[in-house]
Amino acid sequence: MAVSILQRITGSGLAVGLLIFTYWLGAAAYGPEAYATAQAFLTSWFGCLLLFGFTVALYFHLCNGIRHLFWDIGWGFKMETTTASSVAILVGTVVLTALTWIIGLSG
Amino acid sequence: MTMRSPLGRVRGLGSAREGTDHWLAERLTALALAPLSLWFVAIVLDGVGADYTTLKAWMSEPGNMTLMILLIIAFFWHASLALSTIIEDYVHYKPANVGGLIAVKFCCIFLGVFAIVSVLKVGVGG
Repeated sequence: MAVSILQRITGSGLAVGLLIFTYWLGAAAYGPEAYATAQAFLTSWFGCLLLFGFTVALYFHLCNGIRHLFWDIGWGFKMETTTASSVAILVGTVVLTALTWIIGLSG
Repeated sequence: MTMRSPLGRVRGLGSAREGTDHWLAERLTALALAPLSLWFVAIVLDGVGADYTTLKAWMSEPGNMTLMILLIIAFFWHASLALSTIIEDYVHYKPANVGGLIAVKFCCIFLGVFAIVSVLKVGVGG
């Protein structure tokens, strides 16, 4: 099912996210001015779009990753269980992303 | 006594005896990243990065700094293993395969060390 290859796609996207994460930390290490530049970029519309994408990818990868860990110990292989867990992963991704951005934008 | 022929051994065929290490490390780093990544999202939402002074004060707490460094190690370790697996699966042209695997490891180690140094610089440095 599509959910399976999406684990690799979101994972690759999150690797790009790691570059942004490292840029953010590195900017802080170079001092207040560099940090202010990084913050301006990350809070711009393009920065927020990137961050939104990373939160979607993170929550999907996290939810599906948990399912993979259960699969690794031999749980949840029945057809109706995998269908139900696929739905749970998609719902979980949407709910967690929505919650994060509601909190983030209201704060 | 070995079941492998001398020629097979010279060619490096058969188990390298390290496949399970890679597999297990990918799962263990995933297990660590589940709470750590949620913690990171939570502290960002809490406004830890709002400005330089706030971030520096937060980062100088030993517990926060420890979790940040653990997060960085787990992130890059997991990324390095997973990206290597993707290259092994999809890149069949040998030079690109080997080059890609080396590049992934070098980049992950460089960026990971840079991120840890950055955390220490902000948290400990003047």
